[in-house]
Amino acid sequence: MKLLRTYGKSRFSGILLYVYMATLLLFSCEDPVIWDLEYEELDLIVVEGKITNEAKEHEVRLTKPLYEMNGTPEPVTGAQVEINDGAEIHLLAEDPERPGIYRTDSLFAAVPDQYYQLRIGYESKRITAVTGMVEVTPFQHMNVFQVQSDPVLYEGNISDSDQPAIVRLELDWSHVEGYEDLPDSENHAVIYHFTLNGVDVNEIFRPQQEHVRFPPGTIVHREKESVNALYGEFLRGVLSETDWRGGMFDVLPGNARTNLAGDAIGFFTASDVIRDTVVIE
Amino acid sequence: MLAAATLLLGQQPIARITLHFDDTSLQNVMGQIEQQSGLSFSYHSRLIDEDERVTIHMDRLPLDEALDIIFSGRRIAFEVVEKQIVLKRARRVNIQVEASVFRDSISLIPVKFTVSGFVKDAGTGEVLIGATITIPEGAEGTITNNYGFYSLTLKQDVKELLCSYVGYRDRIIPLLSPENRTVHFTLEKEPEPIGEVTVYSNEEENLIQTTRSSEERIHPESIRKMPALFGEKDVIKSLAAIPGIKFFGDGSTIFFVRGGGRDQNMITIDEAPVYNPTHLLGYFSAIVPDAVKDVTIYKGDFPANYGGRLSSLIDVRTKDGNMLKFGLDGSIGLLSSKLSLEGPIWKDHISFFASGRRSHITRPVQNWNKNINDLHFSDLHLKLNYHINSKNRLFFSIYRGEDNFEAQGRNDIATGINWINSTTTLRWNHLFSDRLFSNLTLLGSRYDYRLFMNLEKNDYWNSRIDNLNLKYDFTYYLVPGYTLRYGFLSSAHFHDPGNVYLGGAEWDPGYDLSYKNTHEFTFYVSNQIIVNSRLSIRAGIRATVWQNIGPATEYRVVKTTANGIERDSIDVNEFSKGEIYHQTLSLDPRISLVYQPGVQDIFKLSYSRTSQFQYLITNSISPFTSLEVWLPAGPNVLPQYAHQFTIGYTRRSSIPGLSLNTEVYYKRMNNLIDYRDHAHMLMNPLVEEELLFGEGTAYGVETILKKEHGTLTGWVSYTFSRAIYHVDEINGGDPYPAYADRPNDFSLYLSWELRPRLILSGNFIYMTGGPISTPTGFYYYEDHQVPIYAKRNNDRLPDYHRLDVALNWRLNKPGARYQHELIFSVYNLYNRINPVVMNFNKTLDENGNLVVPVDFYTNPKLYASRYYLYGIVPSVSYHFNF
Repeated sequence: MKLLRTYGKSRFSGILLYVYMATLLLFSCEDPVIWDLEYEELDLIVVEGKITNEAKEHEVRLTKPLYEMNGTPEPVTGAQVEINDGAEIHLLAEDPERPGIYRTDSLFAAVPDQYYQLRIGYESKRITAVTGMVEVTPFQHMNVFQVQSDPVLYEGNISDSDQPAIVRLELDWSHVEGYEDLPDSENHAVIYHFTLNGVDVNEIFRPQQEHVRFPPGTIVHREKESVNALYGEFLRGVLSETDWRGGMFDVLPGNARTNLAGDAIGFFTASDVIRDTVVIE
Repeated sequence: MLAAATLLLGQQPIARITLHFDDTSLQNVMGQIEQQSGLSFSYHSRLIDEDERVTIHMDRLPLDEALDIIFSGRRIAFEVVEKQIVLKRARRVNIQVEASVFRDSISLIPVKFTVSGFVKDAGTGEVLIGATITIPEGAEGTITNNYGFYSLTLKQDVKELLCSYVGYRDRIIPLLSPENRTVHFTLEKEPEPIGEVTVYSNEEENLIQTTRSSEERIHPESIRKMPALFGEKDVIKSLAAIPGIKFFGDGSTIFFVRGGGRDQNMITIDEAPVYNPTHLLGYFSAIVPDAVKDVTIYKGDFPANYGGRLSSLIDVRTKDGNMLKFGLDGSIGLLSSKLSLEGPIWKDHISFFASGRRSHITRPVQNWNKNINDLHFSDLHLKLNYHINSKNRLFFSIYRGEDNFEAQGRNDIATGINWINSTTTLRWNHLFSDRLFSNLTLLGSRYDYRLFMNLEKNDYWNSRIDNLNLKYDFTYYLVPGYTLRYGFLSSAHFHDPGNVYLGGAEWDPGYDLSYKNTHEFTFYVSNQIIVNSRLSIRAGIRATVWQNIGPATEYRVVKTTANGIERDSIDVNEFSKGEIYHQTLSLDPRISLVYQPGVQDIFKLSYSRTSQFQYLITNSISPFTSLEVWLPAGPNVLPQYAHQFTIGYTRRSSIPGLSLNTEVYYKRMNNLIDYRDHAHMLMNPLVEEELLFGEGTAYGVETILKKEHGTLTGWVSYTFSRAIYHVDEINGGDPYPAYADRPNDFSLYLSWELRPRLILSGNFIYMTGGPISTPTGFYYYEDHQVPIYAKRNNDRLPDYHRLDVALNWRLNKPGARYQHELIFSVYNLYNRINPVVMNFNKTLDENGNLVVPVDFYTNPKLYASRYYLYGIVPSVSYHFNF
């Protein structure tokens, strides 16, 4: 049952600038420190599973949790993974080139109003999840603006949505004159933009973000994925711990709510996906 | 030391004396009295120093009161014989020595007469709360109530009464005959303020009749002397001086009392509850110190007439206004300026008090950033005090505090935040007899919070609480040693849990985010019995009926099974207007015993049950107050209850003003609220499903050693305490420390009177760091490094400590009409970094700033970081009054 109706978060996003200023005004400071985290090894599997409306081999990634910041996740190999769409069971086989990545053995496309069940068997663990897909809405106009201190450059959270969605932007300005010889990390960028339902204080008062600046001529490959209610709930938890954490009105830390049953964290979802490419003029 | 004076005016007409002298000789003053009274003084030349310089102001005081004020403190008694005022050496009365003579039983001595009246400030006519009235030779006595009234039924042989109050000269009034009478005391302030400590207590307070566990009082004069952030004196932050009260940290007015939650503390201004008494998101409290007459804190052993919160009640009483003359008081600080005006409208009958504060930071902020349209806060206290006659008195008071921020946001849309606290109180004091005092209170209060998305279009999110209360309290001084207090309260509460308004009209979110209407009916009765001179008992009960009233829509998630599959569904219940759809009865007994085996030792024992029916619903861990929603108890949220036991011991040293107080407490709390991970707090009709309920246990020992007399005064206190919560759904059902769990808490405050006009004060605080949840692992999702939390509150912030100092430099000479002072203060003198939050999600940008990563082309390197508010903060402010 869908009880909540969307209230566009864009109405609240205008607060952000104020908050940034108010934060500075109130004399707060933040600096890096060395902090000994008390890691606790948990017998969990991290699941990152997504099927889409595109007819392709879909992937599920299984890893183990990290017990150090900025570490490299260890893959979970040798698991049995399958997706049941109600009519057919799709087996996923581990990619021999990419341990921990499991791919469907055939091409199929997810459709709206259909439930999909993920089943994972690993050692004694049995992990399951059920998801459904909602339709994605069209792209909206990209909202970029010139940098005041350097009008040659643009910046911004350059895409928005009227419905819950993830917009993934791959920016490439390696072909723009003057930027050709830079390292890849300096003429490419990958940006995520999340639109969710609801009102969250920590989102409204989110902390200062990194500025990503790019010149005219930048090519932007956009990918927009629909987000169903449960996935939105999970993403809200992820963002509360990442993009929104560290602002003026932080909320109690906690784990993102998952649809996985069993000893697992992460999420399994089905998304309607659209793509396009635009050039920043 | 006390001065004693006796008066035998006989049939002489009572002269009234008016004196206005600054720094004049005593001889000159006496000459004026002779002129105005038609009497002449007669005394031994060695009795007084005629050349002594004095400052004195009084208007039309009866001769006996005038003489009493002048000669109190000089140990001079007087009597009028024929046409002469005869002065002689007074008998020395020292309560600490003479009160050690106890009688076996007070109640066995027949009742003879009752003395009642008010205690007032001689200079302003303001009634004094908590003034002590005693028999000089004995242990019997009482204190004035919140309206300055006392009633004392005495034995036939009592000849005089002593009245004392901290910061004022003691006064003795003779009782010429044993008959019922009204005796008003007017006390004169000590000529020069001394560097007294914040926690109020005077040495006469160790009366068995007036002592109670876990009650503290703060004198506003003391708040003024304490070091403060930006020089902004703060009534709420001064509570940090009291053992058992722990503040969130730097810059925050959020506090915890004996392991309770932040919403378990009720702050009332003239009896009206204030839900968010803060400014600048909580940096400062909303109560203007200059308007405060008295602050009483109950953190256990609650009187039966108080209720509504589990952990503490902060009862703030504002000034009534000067009945005799006009006065102006003000200060100029770095962030705000304050001005107070008071005076008589009808002398001796109607007075007013008006106090305002307004920040002046808008322009500096605008100079710094043109996008800020407005940033200010303000407070206004107004009070009228009408002394109708000796049996009736009316008080009317208003408080309004506002915060407003406006800024041009993204896309040039003006956005902002605004919140307003407002209260209105009308009180009627009536004396049915000299033993039966009553107070009828009608009050309304509102807390209104708005987050503007678009100021021009008037689009905003709004949360609101309204209260309308009618309260009638009676105090019946039945017989010596037995006082009966009883009364009732009828309240209507209205809660808007937060709705969106577009263009000023309510937006329909597609569901009914229901308003909540509740009624509260309370009856209480409390008995105070003085069993004998060593033992007193207080016993009472508070009964509350809490009703949820329609119209309302209540939601509940229920498990249903269809086709063998269990799923959640939502049960929607709609209730019509006026329908009582939920009702709760709470009976809260309270009992306490005080045992005083000798004049220097007091043992205290108490038990109290408290209940709470309104909750702050927030999962914020921020030190700032944010978008907060209050909800009432109802069908989905049970009332909270607490049982608290305390044992206390007080030792008064033979050195005047030196005392040691220790209390041990154990508190058990039921139906405490905690939250699911990433709970939806706003715009959620199922918000109650986000709550988790559990139990809490708090215990500790609090010790404070105070020195209240001399040029060097202060205290040192230490508290060891624990606050452990247990919620089945958190940490696998294992107990975990609450945020208030800070086991070691040490504070030292010293005030040193370097010279008569120069006071240096310092304040050192140490606390164990507060519990926090830190990651116990990470995982990647959509390139984001997401923390894993194995347990709630598994870690702690670094220990908190800081040192503040202040120098109060009085610029005027003693007794001058125009008084003014400069206050230099340094907050956090040694620049200690006390983080309020730890983060594990930020990276360094090209300028070395910690920011949330946006570009995931390569995995950004994340750092642990600490978020803190202040380093060293020096400030200066100027304060004046005349």
